[in-house]
Amino acid sequence: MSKEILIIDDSPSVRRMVAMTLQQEGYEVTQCEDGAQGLDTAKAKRFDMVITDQNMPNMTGIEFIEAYRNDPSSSGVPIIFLSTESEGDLKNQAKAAGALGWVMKPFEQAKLLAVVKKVVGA
Amino acid sequence: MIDEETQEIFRQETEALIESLQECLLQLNSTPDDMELVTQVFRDLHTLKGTGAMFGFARLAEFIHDFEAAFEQVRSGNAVVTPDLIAVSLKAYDLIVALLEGEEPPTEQDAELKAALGAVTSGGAAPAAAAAAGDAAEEAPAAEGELEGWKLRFKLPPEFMEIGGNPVAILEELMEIGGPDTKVEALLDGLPALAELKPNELHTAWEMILPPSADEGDIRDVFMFHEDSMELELTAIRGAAPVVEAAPVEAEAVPVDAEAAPAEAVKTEAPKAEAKKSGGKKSGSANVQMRVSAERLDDIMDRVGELVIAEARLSDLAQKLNDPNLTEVVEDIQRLALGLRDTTMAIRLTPMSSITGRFQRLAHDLAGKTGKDFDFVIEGEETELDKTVIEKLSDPLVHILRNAVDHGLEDNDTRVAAGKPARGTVRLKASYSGADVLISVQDDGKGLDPEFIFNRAVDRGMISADANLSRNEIFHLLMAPGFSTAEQVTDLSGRGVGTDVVKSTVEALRGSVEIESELGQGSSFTLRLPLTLAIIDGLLLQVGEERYTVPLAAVEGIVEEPEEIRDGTESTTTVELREKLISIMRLREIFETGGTRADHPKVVLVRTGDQQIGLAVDRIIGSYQTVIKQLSPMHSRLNVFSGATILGDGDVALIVDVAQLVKAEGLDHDNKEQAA
Amino acid sequence: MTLELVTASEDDLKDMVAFEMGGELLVVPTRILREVLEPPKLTRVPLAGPYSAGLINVRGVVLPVTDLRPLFEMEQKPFDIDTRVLVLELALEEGTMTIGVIAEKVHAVLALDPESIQKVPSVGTRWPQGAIKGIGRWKDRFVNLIDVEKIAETYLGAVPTDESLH
Repeated sequence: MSKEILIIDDSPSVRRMVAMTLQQEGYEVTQCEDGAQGLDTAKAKRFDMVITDQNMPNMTGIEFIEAYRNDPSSSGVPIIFLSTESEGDLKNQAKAAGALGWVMKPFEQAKLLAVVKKVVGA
Repeated sequence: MIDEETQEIFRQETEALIESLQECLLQLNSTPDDMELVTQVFRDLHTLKGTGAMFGFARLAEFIHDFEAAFEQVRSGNAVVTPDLIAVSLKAYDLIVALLEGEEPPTEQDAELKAALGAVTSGGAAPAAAAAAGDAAEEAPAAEGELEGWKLRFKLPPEFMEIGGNPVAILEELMEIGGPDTKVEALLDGLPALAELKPNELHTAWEMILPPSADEGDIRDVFMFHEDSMELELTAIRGAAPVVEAAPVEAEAVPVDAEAAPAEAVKTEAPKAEAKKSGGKKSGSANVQMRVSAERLDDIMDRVGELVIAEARLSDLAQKLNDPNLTEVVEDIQRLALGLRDTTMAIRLTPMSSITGRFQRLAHDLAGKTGKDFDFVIEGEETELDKTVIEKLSDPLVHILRNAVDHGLEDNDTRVAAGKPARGTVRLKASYSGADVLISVQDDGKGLDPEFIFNRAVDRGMISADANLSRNEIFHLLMAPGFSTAEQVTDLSGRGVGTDVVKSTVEALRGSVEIESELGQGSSFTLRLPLTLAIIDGLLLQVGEERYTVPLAAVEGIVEEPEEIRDGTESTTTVELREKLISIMRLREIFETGGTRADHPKVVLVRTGDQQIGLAVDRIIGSYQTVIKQLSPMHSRLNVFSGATILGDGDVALIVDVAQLVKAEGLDHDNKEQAA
Repeated sequence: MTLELVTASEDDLKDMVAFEMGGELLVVPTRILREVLEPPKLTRVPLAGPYSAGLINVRGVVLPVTDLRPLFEMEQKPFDIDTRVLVLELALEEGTMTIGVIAEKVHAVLALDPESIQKVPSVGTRWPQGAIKGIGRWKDRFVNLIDVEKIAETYLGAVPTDESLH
């Protein structure tokens, strides 16, 4: 069974780019456009991995991670945090909140793929 | 790797972002203390930066970085919004637009604008980018002695598995780097007593010896996410020469001490789960929106149309078979299909607010360039029109607005001398009127002088000096081709859409332009457009054996056809209804439908413009959602029909354009005036 | 001039669909034929003139249907089991236009010998100006190469008339 990945990003183009990159490698991708929607989706179904952006309306990425980690169902689900370079301290906040790792924007598709493979396997 | 569609989504997304950015900046000009707007600007810039960088707009991202930093100063209270900041920001905005459009303005601009942004946000932002976090520590000086291998000792954070990490994968990865010569040993001394052991917590440490072939960078990469929250020692094992130990890798000093914030501590914190309302100034605009091409929507619409028709056939079949189980399912499908149809249609509608940002910008620029102080008021932004119509209206409205300021408004001194408030007002207003949408631009300037216009048209050879024109006709000369050619071309002329283009654009949308003006009081240009939406509420009528639809929005009432006009065969007549004289159009005669007359014919009272007209028909079938299909060129010149629609049984019915029919039958006001 | 038009579409001649109207055999290139329909229910368009047969619904798309018989001064006859509607896609200057054309009976697809194509005599025929590209022979019958694009532009109102100018 292919691995299922949830991507949360308010930017449709980034979302699509990430989704296509992963789908090409055989991952199944679910997309959400903000933290609140992502939280509902992540709670409703267990994903093999969650990738979340930080800056989003309704609920930021870190708020999402905090809320999701507060839910027992999140146990063992890796979260990768997308962040822009200027937000260096955010990645630590994200880690503190329960992210497994991060990817800095802008990233190349190969880089993202490498991280995903590392975290969930091919 | 990035396909065209992703590029298109990117383009549409940035378009929405810059539109919002501009609008917020302009609003900030009048409400500089609105922190929500500041936050929105910040957010828009931030998204533009991140997304832009992803799509290879490095210069854009770099520039926005400083732009964003300036607004960060405002957001954090170190600076305030000033007219200067807005002015510079708008210039910065222009640069962003240029960069997004692939232009390559001189790079000095970036630096100048950055400096200006820094200067207007007090203290001057010092936005040097944070050093890339992943930068490896400086290379240790080349050590003497041959490398014999690596000694690696590591202990992952206890919550490692809880947050989705996989220690086995880490080990496997290291083994892969080291190859078969790798030695591994688990160190269990960190294990708590059995009673305290939590299955999900990781307390094991590992020690590994990797061969010299392993690359130090690769080894560290394995721990890329965890270096600062774990114990990690990587030592080079060297032979012969005195061993120079590489400094143990220590977690870099970081503001947040990960060790001090174990997962449990985080968990006890109340989750900040209450969804924050979008930071936008008005709900809806900050919400993430999907932009879809109009053709795609047309596609969906066609398919939904097919679905509804297939559903109708299914209903027919179910009725014949008379199986209650089947009927139940069919009813479900019917409900779903109709719901889908409604939803699909609603998608095409876009509020006027989607384009008002550019008018605000224009008004702002016009005020600056003409030196005329005026208030720009927008009303009815929520009025929804078909997206394609809205886009087409943008240029004509820009033109009218520019004229209103350029030629309509007097300069401030003249206004005061004329006893008017020094500050003029220009109003952009959208509203519904029956089955039409009205969009008007009003100014309280000097108004139109019919005599001046008339003489000028004579000078231009457009009319003869003895032409007998109504006031309204004279005003419309303004929009005739060739009238405005000699106007001085100002810096404001922009793309130079001529006034005649206003007229042709609006007429192409089956609309009309109404001009009202009072000398000394001001003018108003109103675009009257039929609701040429993809969907309208229609009233289905039967005339003879044929069915026609009229927009329900235009319908004001239905009455029995008065006895005294039932037998007439003229296409129009008049009758007194509710103590009012009303013109009646007999659709049976106008459309030459033939067929038998109903025993109880009806008159549908419809409003068009400012008059009420009756349509004599045989039967009212009912109201329903009407999908408008445009007529082909073969029939579209018949402007009495604004389109066609497909009924539930698959038949096609024509949609009557009441205003045009009234005109065709010579019952409209202009005609009456002339006749009188 | 007519001959030029014919040679320009020589490829088309190899693949023409023939249909019967008022005792004449008419052909159009299969290149522009989208489908052939059983006579569907037509919705008459009032005030649209004699060439408009009405509107039909083809899987959710409303298409105009033209009846060429009044244009060719042929007698009307009611729909029967042979009646079909040819759906043609025309490349007009204003863009493409999909239109239905009533056919009393549709024949097989046929190939015409370019050598057999003749100019249309300018007088003494039933064909209005520009409606026919040429006349060819197939078996023992004359076939008329109708210029549907030209007909649409000239006679069916595909090009806006001057009406819109006041």
